[in-house]
Amino acid sequence: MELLTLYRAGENSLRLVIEDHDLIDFCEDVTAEIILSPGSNHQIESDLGAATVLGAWAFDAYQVKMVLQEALRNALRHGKQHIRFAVAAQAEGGLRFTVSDDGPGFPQEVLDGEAVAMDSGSSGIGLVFARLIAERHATPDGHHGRIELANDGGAVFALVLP
Amino acid sequence: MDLSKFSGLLIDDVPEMRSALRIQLADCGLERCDAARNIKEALERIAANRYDLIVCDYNLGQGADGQQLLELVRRRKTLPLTTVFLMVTGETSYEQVSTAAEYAPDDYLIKPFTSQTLQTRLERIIQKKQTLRPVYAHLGERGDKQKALTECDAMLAQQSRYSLDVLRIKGDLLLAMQRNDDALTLYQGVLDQRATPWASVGKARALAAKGDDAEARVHLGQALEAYPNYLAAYDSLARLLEKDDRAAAQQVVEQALKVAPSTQRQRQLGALALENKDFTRAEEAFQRAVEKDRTGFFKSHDDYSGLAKSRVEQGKVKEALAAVKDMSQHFSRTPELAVHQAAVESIVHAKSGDSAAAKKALERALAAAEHGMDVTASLELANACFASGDQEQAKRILKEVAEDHQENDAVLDRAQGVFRAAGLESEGAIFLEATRQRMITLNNEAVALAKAGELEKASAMLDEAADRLLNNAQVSINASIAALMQIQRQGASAELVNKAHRYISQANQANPELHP
Repeated sequence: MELLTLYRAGENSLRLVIEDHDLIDFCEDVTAEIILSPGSNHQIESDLGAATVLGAWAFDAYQVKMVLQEALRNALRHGKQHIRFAVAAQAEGGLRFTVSDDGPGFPQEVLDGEAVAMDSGSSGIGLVFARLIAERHATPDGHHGRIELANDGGAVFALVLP
Repeated sequence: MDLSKFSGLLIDDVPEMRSALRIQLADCGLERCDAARNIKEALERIAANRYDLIVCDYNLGQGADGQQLLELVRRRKTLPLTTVFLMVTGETSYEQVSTAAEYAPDDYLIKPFTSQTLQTRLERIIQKKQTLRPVYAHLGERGDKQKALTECDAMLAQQSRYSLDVLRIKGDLLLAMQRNDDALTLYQGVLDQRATPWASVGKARALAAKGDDAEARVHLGQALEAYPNYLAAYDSLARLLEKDDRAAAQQVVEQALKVAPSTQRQRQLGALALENKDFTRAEEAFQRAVEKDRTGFFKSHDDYSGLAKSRVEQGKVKEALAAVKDMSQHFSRTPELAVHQAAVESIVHAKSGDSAAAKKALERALAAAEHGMDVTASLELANACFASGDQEQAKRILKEVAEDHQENDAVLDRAQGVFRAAGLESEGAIFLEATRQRMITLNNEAVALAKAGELEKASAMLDEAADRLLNNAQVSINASIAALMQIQRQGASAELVNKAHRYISQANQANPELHP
């Protein structure tokens, strides 16, 4: 799936389909398809308070879901127990999805933007894909999406949509 | 949610997929479910039954797709707004489903999916449709917009979780009611909260409706920068440009076609290219419109007519006549088709310099013409008259169309297009304005006569016009009022009551939707 998207981006034929989506429904869809491995003691806690307040947001649900699910799977691989999935409004406008875990955090070279892989064990294109999808989200007044990586008691992955 | 009380229709051309989907739907609790294998069966089933939900595969074989089917049944109003329409698509075609502009499915699902996902999605849209039912009840051709608006406001006041859907509907209603300032305020209010394409396009439409075309264009340009796949933005921009820059409008439609190919847009492109005298492009577009659909359900006479005209302009007379012949291939032989076909044939002969053959075909077309035939056939007949140099006859036909469809700007624009194609643009504008004035005078005079007590005279005048102009609601209503006033004065007679009733229903049926 990501390969197809990246290929299309390279061919300049990647098409984002921006439409309004109910945030509660969307967040449920994101987590519902994440299957925890048997015997795992992981827990995904969702903080969707802001989703109710915001109601809906315009974005490509298919692509953004891929990005967030990749981040969640990554958190499950590296987190010890608690994975948090949250959605919030940005003070300066915009919507922020956050996936955080309680693992060792991102290696320094990933934070520095040098390494492209969200996880060296995965296909190695996760972050490239996430950045691409984020940046392709734009508004008529020129704002673009982005991803932000940080370490705060574990890895914190944020996708900000304009 | 208990889906067992609902009835469904499942449309897929692949037998294995049909049975797999049927099992999944049964898993969801949907027991009453019909199946259709192709467009023909689907149309028959939809016409004969009232389904709560339809699950349709995007790819239906024979060059037909679920989006075309959806557009057809929504446009013909055979599918109620309350029926849920869920499109199923593969990963590669989902963009085309999800970018659909005017008649979008309620939701779409990308294969493969689990029964659980299917059920969740179905429940969500059913829930939404049920909540919005009070609004839907007043939407549509014969709906009462004011009542729909009241229902919207009631739902917004309750802070329904579907507030955004309600706002979208309300914006469309306000624009349809020409409450343009209110529409602009609504869209701006949404955009002040966050950026979203539908409100961007809505704002541009409101600006254009207020007469601020330049601002609307700038706004749509910016929207397309951010949302290059949002087809509604292309459609709005093309509509704006069609007014005075048809070359630019053609380019916009070309761009939209790159995002999502659709027969409707090929047709639009063909018509624009024909007007712009870009005949090779026009032929290509009409050719595609004709070829794509091998089922015949989505074709129109106009596709073949456009094909014939664009070919003869390039000197391809034989090919043009072949297109004229093909016109009757997929359609039942109605008098309208005979008129249309003979008219186009006449145009082809006239353009190729064979005036004797042109005249013969034109005579056939005129002989087949009958009162109350559709606008498209009438306008084509006028085109043919102009092509053979018979201006008098052409103007007689155009006058009839203009008087009949006085309240329908789309038809008047098309009538003006006939003048333009004949190189009589300014004369056409004067002619159509004079027709408009004549209709106003007729109504005013009748009202004045009635006020002066000359009820019989007023009534006779209006009856004559109403019997001639079946689509002019204003005239029919006035004729009905005149009959009612006579009843009031002289007491009821069966004849007067019938007359009043007849004209009221005529007004009610005036201006049926103008699509092929």
